[in-house]
Amino acid sequence: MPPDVDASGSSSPDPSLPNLEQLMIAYQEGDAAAAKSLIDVLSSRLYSFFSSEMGSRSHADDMLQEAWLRIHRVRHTYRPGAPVLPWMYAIARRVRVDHYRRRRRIERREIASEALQDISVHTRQPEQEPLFQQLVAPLPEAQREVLTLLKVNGLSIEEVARATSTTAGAVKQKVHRAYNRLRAVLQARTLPQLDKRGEP
Amino acid sequence: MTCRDFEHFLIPYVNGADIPEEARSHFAACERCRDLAAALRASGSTAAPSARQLAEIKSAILTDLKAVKPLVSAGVLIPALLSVVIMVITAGVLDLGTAGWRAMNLDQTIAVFTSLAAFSGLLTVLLSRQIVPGSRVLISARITVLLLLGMMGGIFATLFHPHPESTFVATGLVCLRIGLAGAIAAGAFCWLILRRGAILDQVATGALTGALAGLGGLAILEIFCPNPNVYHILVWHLGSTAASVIAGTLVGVVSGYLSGRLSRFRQPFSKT
Repeated sequence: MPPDVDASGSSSPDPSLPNLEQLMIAYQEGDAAAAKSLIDVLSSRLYSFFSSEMGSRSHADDMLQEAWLRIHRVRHTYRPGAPVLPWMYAIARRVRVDHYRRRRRIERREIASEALQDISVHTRQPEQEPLFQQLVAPLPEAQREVLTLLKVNGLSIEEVARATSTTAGAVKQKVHRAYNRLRAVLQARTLPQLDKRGEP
Repeated sequence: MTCRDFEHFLIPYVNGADIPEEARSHFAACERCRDLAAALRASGSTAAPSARQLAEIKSAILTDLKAVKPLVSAGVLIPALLSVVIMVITAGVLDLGTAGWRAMNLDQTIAVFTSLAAFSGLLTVLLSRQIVPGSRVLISARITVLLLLGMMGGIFATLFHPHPESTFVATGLVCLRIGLAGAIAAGAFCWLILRRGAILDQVATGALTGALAGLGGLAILEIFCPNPNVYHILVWHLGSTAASVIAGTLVGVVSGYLSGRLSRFRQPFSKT
């Protein structure tokens, strides 16, 4: 049965997920089984979050390791009763920002020293990206991030707001702007096809 | 229902959630929304971490696994931060005296100190959330800081008046030094509390801490300094708060830059 969605666009919790809050509390108490379960359940979500933006598997691998390192280091900041996913994605988002900045610094240095031979390894290859990433590629970073968290990672508006340290209203505004831009992009793609069909 | 109303249901619908009948009717009738939904059905990344990598992460985490005490609740953090600021203000007032408090009339006293207390309360609430990832955001750090400086400036400009002053810079520098000393002390003690949490956005945390510390310095000045000249208060008293916000922001920028640069040296897991 599909999950219900209320008027705010928030869907009910994913029934396929185990009780993450209980697992987090057990993890804080030093329970090894809970730690393993959390890693099993959440790593694929984190990995898709990282690979959705960076495109490269090696970057996603690095960020996944760094994310778990940080989650482990600040696990005491999880407050029992609070939703786990926004807490985790807020940390993952910071990992991604730091990684992106570091990568840009390295790329700038490589370009400066004219070490351009292997630049193709680091640059994004749109033709190899999943369709959703190709679709949202024309959007600004903030809009792309919000849509990815909603669509690919399945978070609600409220969870995205918490994960991105903003208000639900601001998230809705970004989503609205993203949709407007996507509509314009889709229309621009459709028009030439219609023109071609209209040719004698 | 308009297209904008339907936007709330678009991704849940694309992801297979049940949507209300009204939204369903709009979808059936609206080509624009159907086109967008069809595009959004595009699959996202299906990449998954390797079993070997997961095993390495588990091994590294289990090696270091021990019970941790959860961070204290906001009910403890907020009074702790407020106590630090009050302690610094008390120390400053004991050292410098209360000539400023005595020189103010009732309206000025109520307006200035009520605003200082309200903003201090707001800043401690925001800071207590800032160090817990995934907390609900009430108001952005940038808006809070602008609101604080704007409103305090407005209150001073309304309730105080210009007075001739022959030593504007000399007396002003004394006040600036006192305000900044109070802010540095309050900021340092607040940091000792805040570092127990997870500071993800160093710039916002730095700006908010600078603002709270700056309010501590401003409170000391309002209690101590009897100078009623509005320009003196705006430039040197409120200026010390603005300087504290800028200093806090800069500390956040530098700390963010350094933590980003140093994080690659903290990788405990081997490369796959």
